[in-house]
Amino acid sequence: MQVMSFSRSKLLKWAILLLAVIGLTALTHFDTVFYQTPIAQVVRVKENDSHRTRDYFANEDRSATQQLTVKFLNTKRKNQKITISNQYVASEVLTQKYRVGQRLLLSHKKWWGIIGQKRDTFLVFTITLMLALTIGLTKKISLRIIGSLGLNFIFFILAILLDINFEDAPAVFIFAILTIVFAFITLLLVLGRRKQFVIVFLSTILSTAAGVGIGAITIAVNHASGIHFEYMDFITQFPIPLFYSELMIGVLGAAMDESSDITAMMFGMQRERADRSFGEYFVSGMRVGRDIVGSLTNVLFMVFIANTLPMVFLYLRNGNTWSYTIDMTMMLGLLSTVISAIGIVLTVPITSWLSASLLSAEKRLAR
Amino acid sequence: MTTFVWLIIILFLLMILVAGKQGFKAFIGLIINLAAIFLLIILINWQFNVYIVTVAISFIILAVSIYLSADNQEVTNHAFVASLIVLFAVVLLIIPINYLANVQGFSSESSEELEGLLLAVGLNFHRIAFIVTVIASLGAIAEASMAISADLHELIESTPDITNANLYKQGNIIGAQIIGTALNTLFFGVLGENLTLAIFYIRLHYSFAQLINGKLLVAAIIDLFIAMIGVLLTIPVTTWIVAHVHAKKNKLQN
Repeated sequence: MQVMSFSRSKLLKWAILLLAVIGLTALTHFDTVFYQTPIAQVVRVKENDSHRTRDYFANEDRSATQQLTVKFLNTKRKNQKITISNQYVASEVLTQKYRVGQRLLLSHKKWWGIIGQKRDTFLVFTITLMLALTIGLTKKISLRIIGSLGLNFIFFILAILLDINFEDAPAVFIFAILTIVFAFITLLLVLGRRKQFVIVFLSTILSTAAGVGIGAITIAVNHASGIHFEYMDFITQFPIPLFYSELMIGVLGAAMDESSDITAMMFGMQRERADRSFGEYFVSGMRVGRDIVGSLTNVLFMVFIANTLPMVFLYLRNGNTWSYTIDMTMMLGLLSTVISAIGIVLTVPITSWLSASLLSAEKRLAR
Repeated sequence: MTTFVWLIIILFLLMILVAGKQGFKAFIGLIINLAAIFLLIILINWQFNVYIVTVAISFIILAVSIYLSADNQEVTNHAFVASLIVLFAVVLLIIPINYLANVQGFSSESSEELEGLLLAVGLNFHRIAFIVTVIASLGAIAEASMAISADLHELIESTPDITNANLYKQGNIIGAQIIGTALNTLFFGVLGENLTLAIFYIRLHYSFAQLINGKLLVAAIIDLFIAMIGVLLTIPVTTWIVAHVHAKKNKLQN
């Protein structure tokens, strides 16, 4: 039996990747010169005025004031020390307890204040670690994966800029176009310009539209009873179009995932033996698709529900009932999950039907 | 409430219509996972140890997501073990990042949502941030390990005499293809989820310095990338488990 051995070049590759992650992360330690914002490091912490608190709902907590001695790392005040006071509550819902060694972004108006902790180090670390793993594990296609993520992110920002600067253009329209662009870029880079690309692209767009469409119609027919779009977080414009925009983007990845899995198998069938009927293709497509509906729905469910948790705890701790808490904090996440799931389920017959039609038509043409 | 009930009925019917028994199981899986999340909320709210509760609930969620999605015992067992190992690695990664990055709770930008709420709630939000990151990664880890395990077993079935070295090689190729789309599922899921936050930040004309250090944005990005790291780790872990068991079996037969 051949034993799995780490070849030298493999070891070297991982060593270089690891060094790159550590190096880039370490660089953020020295990037303070590039900051216009004053940055200071906490060198001493003195805590005073610590006292227990007990609120109306019998929640016991601790509130305290810190005297932070900080040393400037940049600007013309470099190496100067000042003292800033910081109030915090031990549960750290909104405030933060600072420790020696942490770096803070400061603002100066009449007096010095803390904007927040300098967090770029951890941002760079997680991003570079993920990129290094992608390069190390997916080899040849890693560039395409990273390229599609990067390009998609750029288009995401562009679409938002469009939405903000052209108030007249309907948000749903802008983000629907964005969704199509997303699908095009991603599939082009991941699948290449093959026949499979056309089918996956079409069925992704169709299924996303169908899922969100069914959701929108159901909501409209029921006059959105029980749904409070105004509870969406960080609302700066009319919320309902944004809800549908979020849904379209959210469901897109899962629909692409499902659709490419189904078509990959069906094209494999064709390579094996091209002489098959529509029914044969369709049934196989449906069989592959139905196995992954559940796990894909779960991916989105976990992402949507995890984000709501901090607010759920805050509401429950504020003496709210479960039904009120769910209504206020989780309902939109659950609604997104269900509508996304509808889109994911619809991807199965839509993809199977499209591929089966094309593949069986090809057979007829070949004759 | 009625809109939601209608949508659930539509989803249920579509799942049965399209996926039959498999669809019914997927639907039940979603409900059990939702129940597990509620159990998590209750236990944490009662101040049980966050790390133990989170890992235990994650165990349930992974088991439900994997065992209800396929019937082949070997495929599911291998995927489950792989996802547990990956979960363990992800938890080990999250704990120090969470401690150092301090992205817990809310920030001053959330003031509108926090209006009227008391904030000295006696629940450590540092640990809540840990829960959020772990839970957000679970679905993707389960999906990726399941997909890789299923494909590798299919490969073994079609070529039973495949050598172990070849299996590793195929595992990496298959894994890379699956991971490409799995990363996208996560990426767009999180992007969609954070659309309003992104619009909000861009509207505020924050400086670049404020953007890359801001609590909420860094939190969202860390959550996404840690989940992606979890997905990536499923390639070597799942491949290793499947190949290991396959090698053992071959030895027994010879």
